[in-house]
Amino acid sequence: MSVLQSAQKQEIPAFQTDDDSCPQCKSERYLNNGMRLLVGPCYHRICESCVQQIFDAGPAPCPECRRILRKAEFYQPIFEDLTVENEVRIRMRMAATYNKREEDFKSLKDYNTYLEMVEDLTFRLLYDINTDEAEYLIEKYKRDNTASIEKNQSKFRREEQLQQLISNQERIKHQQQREEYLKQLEEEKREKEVAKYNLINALATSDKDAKDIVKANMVHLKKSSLSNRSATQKPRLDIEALLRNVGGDFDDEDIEEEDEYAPFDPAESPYEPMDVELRSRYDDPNPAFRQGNTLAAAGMTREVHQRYVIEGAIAGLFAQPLHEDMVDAEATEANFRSAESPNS
Amino acid sequence: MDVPQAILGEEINKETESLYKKEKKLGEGTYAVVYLGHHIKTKRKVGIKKIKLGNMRSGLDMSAIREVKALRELRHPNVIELIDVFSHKTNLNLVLEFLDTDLENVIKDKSLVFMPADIKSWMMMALRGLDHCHRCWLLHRDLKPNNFLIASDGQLKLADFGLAREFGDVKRAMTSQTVTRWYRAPELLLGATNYTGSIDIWAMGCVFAELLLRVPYLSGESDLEQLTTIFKARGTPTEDDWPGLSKLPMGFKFEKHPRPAFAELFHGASDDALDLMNRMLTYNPVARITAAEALQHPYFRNSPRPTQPAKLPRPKQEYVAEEEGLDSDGARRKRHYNDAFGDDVFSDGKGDSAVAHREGSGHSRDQDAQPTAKRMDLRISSPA
Repeated sequence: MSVLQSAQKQEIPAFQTDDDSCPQCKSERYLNNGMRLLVGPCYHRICESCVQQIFDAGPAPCPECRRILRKAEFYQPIFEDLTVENEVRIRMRMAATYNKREEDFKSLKDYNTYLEMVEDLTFRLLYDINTDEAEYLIEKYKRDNTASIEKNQSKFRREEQLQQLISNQERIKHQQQREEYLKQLEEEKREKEVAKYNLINALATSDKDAKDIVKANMVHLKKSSLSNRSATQKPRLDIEALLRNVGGDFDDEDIEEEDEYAPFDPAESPYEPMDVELRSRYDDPNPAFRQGNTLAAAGMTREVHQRYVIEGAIAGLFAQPLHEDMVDAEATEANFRSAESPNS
Repeated sequence: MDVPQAILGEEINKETESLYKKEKKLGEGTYAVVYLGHHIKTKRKVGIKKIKLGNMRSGLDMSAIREVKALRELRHPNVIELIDVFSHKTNLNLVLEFLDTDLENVIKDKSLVFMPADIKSWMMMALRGLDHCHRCWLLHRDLKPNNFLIASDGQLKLADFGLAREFGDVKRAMTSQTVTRWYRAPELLLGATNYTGSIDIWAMGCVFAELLLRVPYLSGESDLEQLTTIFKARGTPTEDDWPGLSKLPMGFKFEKHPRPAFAELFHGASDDALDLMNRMLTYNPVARITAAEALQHPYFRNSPRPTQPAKLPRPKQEYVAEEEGLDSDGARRKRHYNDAFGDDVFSDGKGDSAVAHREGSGHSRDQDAQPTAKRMDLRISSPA
């Protein structure tokens, strides 16, 4: 993917040979060195001036396959083999939509099934098998996952930005180190020369023993080069500072994501449901249900009615009585079910 | 006892009243006025709903009784909280939780974009609240987007229990003239009097569809038209998919409409969302999914996760809430919902009309709720 992106930024030169020729106007590179061969979505080569001529007035059919094309759709292919070009483009398109990564899945198996699905769709697009259905599925996935796709995209963008910043910083550091090293070398060289000069001078002028003078000067030289070494320790990259530069906290988002996967119950309620198990049969004195259920069309079934009667009869049976000092919000809450009127 | 009960009651009442301070009027409807207020000690914002008693012809307004009765029994994060009740002179005042906006405002604000996860979150909160009502054997009977109020922290809460009542007793018939028309279940339109929680689920299904479409899904112009609209959208039901259909008070034979493909209209929705909606909008009330079952539906467990309430989209300019879905800001609601109500409700707010409509669901009528007048014009096509 990144190869193609850099290609789009014209970092990779488009493929061309010396014996290229345009299938339309038959002009050859031999005669026209600046010729650019373009392809459209149907992958038929055509030179830039032909494109200009044919498609300038609006959409027109491809001279080879009659498919309707637009000028804006033409580009310079990177690969010699156009099937490769096609595959890379399809994969790039798929990667833009299906941009989940392994850490987005709970298990490796989920990730694998996801990859399997993506690969299957890619294969269909590549070999023209059920393309309509595949396109539909891709569209649907795009619609259903707009949020996560965008989120991942922005994540990638930030990561890329970060990567670039880090590499930039590293390059600068390297350069600085190199310059420093060169400077040191130069200094050392100069110092050595000075020392040599001093030594010769001392030998020439002093009246001490020549051996002693040489010894003293050697020690001095070694010392200076050692101290230099220790001064040029490699500076560390300050990644945290870089992170701050990129903007947005990576950590914060991670915490949020974790939170998102916390267990969660849609049917959560502050109250326990009343645990009533209905028997299969009651001696119901109510005639409404004895003569074939005539109320069912309105939704009132025997079960609903019986549950209502039984719940009404037992609701609040085990609730604590309300004492004066207990009459506050919590007590009301605990006893609220006792407020149900037992209508039976 | 030294103090007579009546005097003691009055004192408690005065004490309650002194706890709250009214600040300003938020809106006025035919049957109540809503004020913004606060609890004097805690500074908690509250909405004070003053029920207009006006002419005490028929005693205390039915819906006020229903509302107090229902809300005293319910306490749930997704149901509006009734904090206190007190009377002032001859007016009844309900002190309710103050909520900023409602789902209708959110749906109508076209600058807001809903992600699938947002809709899931709203549906989940609404179903949790409704499940709680049904567990307590209460029907809401007026579910619609502007009765789903939204708190400042994004929590959605069921409100306006003016039509709520207990269900489950087969001996007590209930009126079929309830629920705002666009959200009214087919069994109500066919005159059923022994319905269950499934009528609220139908309304919930309609709201689900409305969240996806951003316009009301089944908007019939009259009760009759409403049935036709439903049949056109969902296919005409038969005895096979709705056993007992012909035994309903108005279960005549209707013009056959084929069932159109569901997914075409909701092309943005995922399969699990469509499946849940399909189950909520099932004709046969017995087969229709219940609130508790709906919450177990894979839709809520599948990706994407429901949005955190605090992160849900909300209208930019905060509406000063019309507490409790009253007819307070009459014009606004009129524009949107005029057709959905019975004609009498908005007949220029001459007091009784709305009460009359609301009383239609009152006890007195419940006993013999047989809207015979409408029976005649319900025949769409002569029986084949």
